[in-house]
Amino acid sequence: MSRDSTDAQGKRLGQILAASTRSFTAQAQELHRPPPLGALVRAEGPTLSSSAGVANPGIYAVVMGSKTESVEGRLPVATGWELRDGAAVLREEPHLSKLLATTFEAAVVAHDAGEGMRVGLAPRPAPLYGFVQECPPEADVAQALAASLDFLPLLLSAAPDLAEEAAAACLRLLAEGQRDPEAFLLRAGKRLAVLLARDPARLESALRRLAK
Amino acid sequence: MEDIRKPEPTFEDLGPAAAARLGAVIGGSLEKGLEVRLDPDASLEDVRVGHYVAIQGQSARFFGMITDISLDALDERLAKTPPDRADSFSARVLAGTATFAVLKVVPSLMLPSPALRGSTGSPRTDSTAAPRTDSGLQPARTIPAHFAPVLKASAQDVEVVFGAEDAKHPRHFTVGTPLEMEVQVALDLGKFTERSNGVFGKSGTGKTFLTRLLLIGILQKGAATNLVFDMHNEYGWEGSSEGRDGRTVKGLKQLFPSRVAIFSLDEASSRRRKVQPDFVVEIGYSDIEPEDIVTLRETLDLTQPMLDSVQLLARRYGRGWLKEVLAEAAAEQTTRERLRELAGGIEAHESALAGLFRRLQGLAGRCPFLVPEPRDNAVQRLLDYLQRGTHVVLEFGGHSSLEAYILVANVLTRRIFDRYKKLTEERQGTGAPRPQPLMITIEEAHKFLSPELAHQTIFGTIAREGRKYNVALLVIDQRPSAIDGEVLSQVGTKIVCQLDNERDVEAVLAGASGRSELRGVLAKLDSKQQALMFGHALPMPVVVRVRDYGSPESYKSLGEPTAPAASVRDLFP
Repeated sequence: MSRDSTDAQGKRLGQILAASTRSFTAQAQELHRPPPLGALVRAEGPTLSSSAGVANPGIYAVVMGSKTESVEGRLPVATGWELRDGAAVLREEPHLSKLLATTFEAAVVAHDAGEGMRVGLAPRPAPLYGFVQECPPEADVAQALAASLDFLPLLLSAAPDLAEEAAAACLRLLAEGQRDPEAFLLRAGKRLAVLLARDPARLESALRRLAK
Repeated sequence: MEDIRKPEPTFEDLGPAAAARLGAVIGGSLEKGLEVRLDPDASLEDVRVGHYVAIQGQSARFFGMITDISLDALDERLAKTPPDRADSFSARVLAGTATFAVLKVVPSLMLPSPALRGSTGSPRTDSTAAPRTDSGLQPARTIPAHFAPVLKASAQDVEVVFGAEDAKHPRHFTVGTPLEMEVQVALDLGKFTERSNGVFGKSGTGKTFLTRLLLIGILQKGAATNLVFDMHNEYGWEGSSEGRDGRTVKGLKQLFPSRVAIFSLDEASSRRRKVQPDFVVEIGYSDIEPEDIVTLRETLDLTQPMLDSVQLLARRYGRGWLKEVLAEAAAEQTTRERLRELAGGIEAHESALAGLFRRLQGLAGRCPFLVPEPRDNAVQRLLDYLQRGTHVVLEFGGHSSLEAYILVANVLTRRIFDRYKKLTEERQGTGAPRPQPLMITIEEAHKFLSPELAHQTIFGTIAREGRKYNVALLVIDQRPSAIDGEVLSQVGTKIVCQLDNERDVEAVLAGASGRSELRGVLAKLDSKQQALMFGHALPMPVVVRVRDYGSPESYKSLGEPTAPAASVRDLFP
């Protein structure tokens, strides 16, 4: 499958600060505005000779979680008790925004290869400082992933403690790009049922989230 | 009839696209049957035990029958913690995935791909090759690999396995349709009439209905000549339908007026029913032999000393023994001295002789067709008709007691079998073709073929040896467990309607391949118009919904054939 140009031009969401073959961590472009849990994102892949034929290869990943914390490596000091809410605190003390950062983690599920998008881990991690863009449900890559659902085993093995939650969230987001979202969710649920059959508690959790 | 030029379905015609997929093979063995996981999108409740399936292997197509259906789960905790009743999504998701249905399929036949059968399309033949049919079918001696697709059998599958009633299969006769299918199942009546056969089922399940169809098929296809001992006047002229409406259905004579003769034991009854019999049967005393009386042991409550006395009387008086006995018994003045004298003369027991006399006198009184001197020779007339290729239905009219039925069937059959035996031997000597097969239909067969009688009566002999002389039985019975096991094992093709009694089920399936699986199929038959058929004339077991009989449309295809039946004219030279 050829990569859709909308993928390359998707809204920029963040920049990669740490990367491994299985996942990467990126800082969100806006404080407190990471992509939602389960969102499909596209990271810039390494431009190497092995990527011949792909002008701007991408690594596709699903957001597994996000957090906002002090960039100094310690907890910030509480302040602004007299103000109405937290947003007012940041407005009154704008320098605080410079001391905080929102980061998100994403698990790699696919990558561009010579012949098109391929489900599975990329041969090499995404390079640091590469940008991360949104990959909306109607994009070709999202449509292809939704059609096969072959990325689910990889996703479920990425972070066992949250994987089914992230997987269910991802499937609900992908459903928005489907012509018949209910039928898609049923099909996806059946795939989850097989993959998580040996762990009924995780399966039940995933199905409840999928059904909401 | 279909056009003979229509090509036979080929292996390629039977690809996966030809039928709807049910699931995939996930385990099992050739001996115990295959386990087939039902696909999530296949409807479990549309699958039935007895359904007929095809399995597309890599180099062969397998044919089998569903013999059991069960539920399973990838993890037993899932099955034991069902989703909340309000959570229909989870229930729909789990159905067919983490929880699923498993079908048990017994593979019976395989059709190798043309590549394995050689370039001519004919299967390879070597000393180890399994017997096969002309279509290339072989008994399944292997099984398909894991995940081979399992398909609902298509019309082509059924045609490949059973053949069709068409010009290419002149002896095939449609008996019904497989469950939930509209395609027709044909029985090869040529093979059917090679051996004795049985129609079994409890009372009211349609044995008579089925038998009538089989007889019509045999007649229409010229597969054999029928001799029917019609205890309840159901086959010759009008019979009652199986339905509750009390409507009548046409008998053989109405459908084939020129090829069927009705013999009657009770002319008055025939005339009351507006039946014009071709011959009224009387049986002379001299036709009754000791063996005929032995078959009445149970019905006449004859003791062994009484039976011994029969033999002694026959030895003393020869063919006229019964006439002598009845004359003695009729003499009111038969004194104790006379009995003692008689008993002494033949070395019989006096009281046994007295008991025998009473019983034989009663029998003669209840069977007015037993006469000292018959007006005509019924056996010879019967043979004349059969020799001309005319099928004969012997109606018992009002004499439908078991004793009359057993006696007459035994007396006539013994002589007819003797004639066929001689004829076959003569023809063997001259190299002439064997006579046209004769199919003798008897009801209440367990009364003739019980373990006590099977070795003493002509019916036991025919069941064991009849094939050598082209004579076979069509036994109709509701208690197969009361039939001698050896005789039952000689029954080539069994057509079994619903049976309740476990011993009957056991008896009828004894010796059948995959009998434990067939037991499950048999237990699920409807009480009417469904039958499990298996054995010599069928390449594999099949459950059929029996074809319609009795409607005006049904008669159109069940009457005289458009072409003259082959080989009737050369029955006897």
